[in-house]
Amino acid sequence: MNYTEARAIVEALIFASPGPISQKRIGELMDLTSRTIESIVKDIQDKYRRDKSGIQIVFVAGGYEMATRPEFADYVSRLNVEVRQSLSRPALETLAIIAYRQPITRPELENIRGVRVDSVLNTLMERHLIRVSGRKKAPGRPALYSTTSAFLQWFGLSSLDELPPLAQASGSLLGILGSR
Amino acid sequence: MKDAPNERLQPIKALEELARGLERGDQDPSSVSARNALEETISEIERIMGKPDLDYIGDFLSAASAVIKAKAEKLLPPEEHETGEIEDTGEREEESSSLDLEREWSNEALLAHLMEYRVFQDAVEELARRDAAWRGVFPRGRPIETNDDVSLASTEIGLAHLLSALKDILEDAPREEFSHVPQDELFLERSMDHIRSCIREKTKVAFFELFLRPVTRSNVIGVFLALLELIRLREVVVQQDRHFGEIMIAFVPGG
Repeated sequence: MNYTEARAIVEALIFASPGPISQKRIGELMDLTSRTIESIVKDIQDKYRRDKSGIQIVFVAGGYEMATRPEFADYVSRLNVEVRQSLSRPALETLAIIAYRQPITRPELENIRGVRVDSVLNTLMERHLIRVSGRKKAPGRPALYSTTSAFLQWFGLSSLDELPPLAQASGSLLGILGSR
Repeated sequence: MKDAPNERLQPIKALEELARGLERGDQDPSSVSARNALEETISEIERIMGKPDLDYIGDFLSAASAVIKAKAEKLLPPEEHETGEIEDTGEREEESSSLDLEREWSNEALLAHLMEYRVFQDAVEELARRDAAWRGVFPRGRPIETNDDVSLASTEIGLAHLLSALKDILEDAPREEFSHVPQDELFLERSMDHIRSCIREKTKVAFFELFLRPVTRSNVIGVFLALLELIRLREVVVQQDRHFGEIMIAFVPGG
């Protein structure tokens, strides 16, 4: 296959995939290296940008998927496409703690947040943003919570590594402590 | 106390004076023994038991209770602005220092708490920013909004179907003379792991395939309980592609 054909196939695979498809998987299907796939996808992304297309290829949860551009959200939502609700502040706080401290138990979460989190955990479970990833070897064997790939997709993250490191955040805290 | 002689009124007057001193703050509450006040009250009652004078007893009890009330009120934790003004006896100092220690510890805990909480606030801001930015991005094929309707519907509808399917499987299982389902968590976890590995092998697994051969009633119940636990934990969903179709178990999408 020539390059133009390979690019068209990559585009078709990403289009037809029901979820994010990884470079490795595309590479296996096309007998090409991940690096080649990465280069081809970048080429397609550039083409979409040049054409001012309403579609983009995003890299989330370890794979590529096609999505609309946010600037056309108003029009797309008129299609009765389910528009997701924003997460509440308590839900975001709980998610942030789980994302950085996973796997983590409910008491540990409550200790950090200082409030009960049962209801928030249920909401996050219902949205499949978190899951029970195991049980802690402690009295009562409490459930351990971790984030899911849906969490990465929700926030447009390719992986958890894309989250800002906590060390940066603690720098601003030193100022607070210094002023005491 | 109309008929009480003056000398008999002395204990009452002394107690009333003590109560006023405590209320005014002239008297150090720690120097007043509530135990002594009670003991004096009891001994006074015992002394006059032979010739009861209800007015006298009433006045004495009233004065004694005023002392105890005044002492109790003074022993309540002081208001914050009074902290530096209190001059204490040893007992008071110990009480005060233990309160201070507690306050110190609370401050430490609060500070540690604040530090950890503050650290996460920056991450929360980042997530909030991304949440807003990606809200307008509609991915193809799979809505990012979770399939609540699918999973809830399949769980609710599937439960009746599951019970019906369970009944069929139990009917096939031979009756056991003595049957019990081990209640330990390890048994449950082993059964949960068994279900997980069955799904991993095929992406979706038929309900009847979960039950190991040879089928025993205790095993069937154990695996069924494990399946219910996995559904409760939202790890798996129970699906049926069509009416009267095969009941299939799969992992929750995105889980």
